[in-house]
Amino acid sequence: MHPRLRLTLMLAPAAAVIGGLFAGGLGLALVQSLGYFPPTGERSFTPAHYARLLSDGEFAASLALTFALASVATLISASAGLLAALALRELARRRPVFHTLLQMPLALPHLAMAVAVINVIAPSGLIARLAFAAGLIGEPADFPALVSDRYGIGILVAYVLKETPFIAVMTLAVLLRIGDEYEQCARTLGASAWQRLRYVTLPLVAPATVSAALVVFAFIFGAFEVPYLLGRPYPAMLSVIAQRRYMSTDLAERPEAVALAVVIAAVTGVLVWAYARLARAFAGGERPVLF
Amino acid sequence: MFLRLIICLVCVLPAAGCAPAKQDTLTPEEFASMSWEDVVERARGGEVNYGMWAGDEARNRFFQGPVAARLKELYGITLRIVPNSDVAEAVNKLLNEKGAGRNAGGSIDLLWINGENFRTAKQAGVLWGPFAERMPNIRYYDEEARLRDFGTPIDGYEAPWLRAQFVFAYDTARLADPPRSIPALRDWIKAHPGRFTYIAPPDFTGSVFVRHLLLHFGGGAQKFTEGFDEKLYAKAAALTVEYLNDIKPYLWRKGETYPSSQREADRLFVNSEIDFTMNYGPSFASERIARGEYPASVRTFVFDEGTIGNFSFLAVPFNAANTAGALVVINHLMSVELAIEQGKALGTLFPMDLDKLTPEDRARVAAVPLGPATLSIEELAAHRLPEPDVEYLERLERDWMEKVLRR
Repeated sequence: MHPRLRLTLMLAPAAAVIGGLFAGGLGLALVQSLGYFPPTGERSFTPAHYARLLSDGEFAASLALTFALASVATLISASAGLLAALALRELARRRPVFHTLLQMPLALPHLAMAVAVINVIAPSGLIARLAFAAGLIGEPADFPALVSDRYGIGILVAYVLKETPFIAVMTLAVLLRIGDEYEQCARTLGASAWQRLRYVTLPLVAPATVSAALVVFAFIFGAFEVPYLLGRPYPAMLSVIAQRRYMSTDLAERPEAVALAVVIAAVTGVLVWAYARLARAFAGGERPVLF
Repeated sequence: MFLRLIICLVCVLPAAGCAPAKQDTLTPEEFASMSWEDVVERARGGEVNYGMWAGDEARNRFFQGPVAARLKELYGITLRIVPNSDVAEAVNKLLNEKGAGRNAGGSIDLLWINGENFRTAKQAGVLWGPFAERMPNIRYYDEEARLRDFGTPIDGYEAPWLRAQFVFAYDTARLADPPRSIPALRDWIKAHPGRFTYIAPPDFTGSVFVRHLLLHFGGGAQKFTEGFDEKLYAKAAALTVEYLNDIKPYLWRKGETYPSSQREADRLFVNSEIDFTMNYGPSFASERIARGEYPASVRTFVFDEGTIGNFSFLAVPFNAANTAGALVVINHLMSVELAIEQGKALGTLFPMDLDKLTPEDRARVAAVPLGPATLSIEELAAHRLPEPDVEYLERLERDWMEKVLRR
């Protein structure tokens, strides 16, 4: 069989699923958000639902919150993940079991992490109970609000705990692959430890770390379960509002909910594109590992 | 979330092309001309998919176990539970199926539904009917349960099934005498900062809590049942919003946030962060005491002016694959026998009109033990208010988000 044909045939099942489910779903969502929604008798194509989002105070507050939380969580996770990878590098090279250990949190669903965070840092959680037993607080209300709180601390904690190992694993894989020859070489040329890190190691791992961070940002921007469980009803992250409006029994809210989901998808798409370009520039022409 | 949305939208498409499984559909006209015995005969040996809210383990076990076995024994019907976490999910699925043109061979044959979801489903034409008035067991139910559901005319598109009523729970070990009126509740909240909160609407328990205020400030529940009155709403909603913003600084965490679900409110109550919890099931506290989740000293109460009660119903989707089977199952679920069994197993409130039962059945109902925290059928009935028209509910939920939550 011709190799090209063979390749096409082998890719066909995956392409059909992606094309049908993903592209098809996105297309349907686009059509609904533009006002084609027969159950309410709407069959026109109109930008009205998007226009209404723009003048919606809740949407503006939510967009700002979503950007802020996704940026902060990504920044913290990327820094911590990079540091963890650098710190564990020697250990992981000699004892591969550490690499495996680091991968284990990846298998934990976000939902489970969110519940774990509630069980530990909520006013009814483990830490509050220990503080009570130690006589540090007299009643649950004395414990600082760390979930459903004003600053989204619960959401940040859950994401940082989940995403740091992910970024560390991605970075560590590159670190182990490139070995230490470049650094040895820089050392023989008289580079200090800081210079080796700044001019040799970081540029080598940057594509991996930045592209992993990009994936994390895009994921947090659109993900639902963590902010649903750990956030406040207002302001809530975009995905939570989209879900609430989609589930509303007032069918007229449906196209707006879908428009919100399209906005999330569009923002994520633009970010992926921008970050991919950034990562390429940063890495001096080398493509980030995930793309 | 977005993925889930896509899956919701797309999963119905491939299915639309499939040939439907074994068909046993009736048109409402065919049903109207058949005798009930013919319907039962036609349903024999079939499989019925029951779309049910599955958030309660005990309830799931009851339907998968004894109820399924009894249906098999009586009618040879195999009952399968199709779980949903909110009936709105199932209604959404039907809307999508209708949009995709899947008019037969649907995955659900009957649906547990009420209120705004019924209104949405009926308006969108995704329900099969009318059928309810031809169910033999409807004779046990009150007229009230056959006319309107949250103000929406039923017109035979759903059959009455269960009765619910809102109650508060409190712990007698912490609190001797709970406030039994809306003004007294305000005073109590202000005297005990941080010890009260309510669930954020649009959660249905939170939503019904704020509806009590609307009915109170509007001058009584009866005025709200006959369609929507803008002037009445404006006056009552303004006072309701004023009340809720007035108590806000004295709520749990100063009203900066609210529990967003029943489960979260229960957690706060059990952890002694708040002194009250609330539920639309009058026996919920007894069930939780029995499961060891609540201390035995928890009791329930209602406002002196009453609390809102409603019915939930059973409906048949427009594309049900086994209509005859669905009707037979619905009629069985509406039987006195099942109501008593369900009362014993789950503590559900007896839904039927006691005057319409035989003396023997009345005695059997009276013999069903109440849980320690459950109010008597008579006390609940004496303090029962009807649900307002569904438009009040939706307007109040929107106003709550705009004028209370976001302030």
